[in-house]
Amino acid sequence: MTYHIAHEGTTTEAIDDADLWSGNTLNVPALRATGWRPAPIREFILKLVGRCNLACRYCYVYTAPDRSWLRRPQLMSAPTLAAASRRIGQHAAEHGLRRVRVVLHGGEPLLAGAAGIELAATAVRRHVPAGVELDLRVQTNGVLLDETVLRTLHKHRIRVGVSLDGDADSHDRHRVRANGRGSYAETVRGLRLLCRPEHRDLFAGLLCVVDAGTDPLAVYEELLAYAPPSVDLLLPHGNWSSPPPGRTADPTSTPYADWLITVFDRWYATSPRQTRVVIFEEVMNLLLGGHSRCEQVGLSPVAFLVIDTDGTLQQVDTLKSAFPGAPDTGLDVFAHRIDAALDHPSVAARQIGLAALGATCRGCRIVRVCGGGHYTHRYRHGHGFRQPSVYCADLTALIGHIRRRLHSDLRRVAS
Amino acid sequence: MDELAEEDGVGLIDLTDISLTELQHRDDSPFAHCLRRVVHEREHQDELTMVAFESVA
Repeated sequence: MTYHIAHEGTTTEAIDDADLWSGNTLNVPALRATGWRPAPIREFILKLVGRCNLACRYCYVYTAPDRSWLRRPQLMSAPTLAAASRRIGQHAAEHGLRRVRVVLHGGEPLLAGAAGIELAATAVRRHVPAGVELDLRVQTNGVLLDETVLRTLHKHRIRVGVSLDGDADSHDRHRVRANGRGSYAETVRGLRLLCRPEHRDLFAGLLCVVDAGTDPLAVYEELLAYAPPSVDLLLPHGNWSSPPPGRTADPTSTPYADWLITVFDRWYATSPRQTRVVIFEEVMNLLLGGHSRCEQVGLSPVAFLVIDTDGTLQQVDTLKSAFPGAPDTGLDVFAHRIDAALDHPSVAARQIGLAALGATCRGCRIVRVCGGGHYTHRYRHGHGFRQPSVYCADLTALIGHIRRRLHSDLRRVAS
Repeated sequence: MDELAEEDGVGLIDLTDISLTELQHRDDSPFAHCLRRVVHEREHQDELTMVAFESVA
């Protein structure tokens, strides 16, 4: 089959599928020979801490087949931080980037304490070139948010994303301490502190992992109670060989779509808009011919990279839910430039949109909206990632529903 | 509006001949926000070549 590869610009190049893939591995030299060039990395996920104070039952780091966290440092050292920051600055300068996002991540990044956050932010700021806007963020479970930490976050203008899975019952189903005790009360204490007027400008939004067995409106109303600037509703990670909870082979069963549709209808019917719900807004934009910034849907290139506590360059670590070593690139910040990762077949495969998908997806009429779904969810043991998403039925149902609502409103207001 | 009336319910919605610029100012609903974004993207095509996935973090 011949198809077109999307370049970063508007040019496309026809190439035969057989020339591009050797089994499940992308032939990057063949890809480059078409004139394709990778998109630079614009977001760096800095694994400041390799351990967590929670033991969430769905965690893709500590409960996944990949156990590499056991052999990595618990904390990113000062020399590793410096090397990582130099590479980030170098990459930004060489590609003329106007803006770079660095996310302090974990594990739980606040286990580094205010001093660790200070060290990381200072190192990054020192090496990002003047004139490049630095968007610093931290993604936390909220348990360790206190006034001392918040002072440091204010000092470095670090915006905060908090993981909250809804009301107490829903949150404590999965987000627990190692002894099984729920973390809702501790998370909400930190979140309320963040929501005080003096700290609120740091609040970036909430992450919520969907459990199809919970009450969607109870979850959504709880999230809304903190007036988050945005809400990311995430499908729990799984794949064809290790399906997510409740996701059976029956294509008529769509528990995750049913859950999301209930929230969509509540969100969509409320004016003025109460918050951004990322997956809904991205699907709507895609349906109208736009682009997506959310890796759950759409065909945009992936432009982020993980730097682990040992300085290794990794692909998105949700891949750990597929098989041991799945995110590895074999590269590190001491010996390699960030550009080296752009020629890694798995990194490149996530920048070529439609061309990375299998034949089933490429022939599907909603592929430009779903984009084959989250890359991690496409994996099937022995077949790699060129499969439809394990959530294909849910995504199809959700996109169809949103399309009907959008289409109906467009007809109404334009007539 | 013929394009909308004739659509079969899958794939992208055809917006040919629809004046989104007029529609986008109607209110502050999620629908209106969506239209504003589409209009913005159309007016800033050069920047769109740089749209990429961001992490969920």
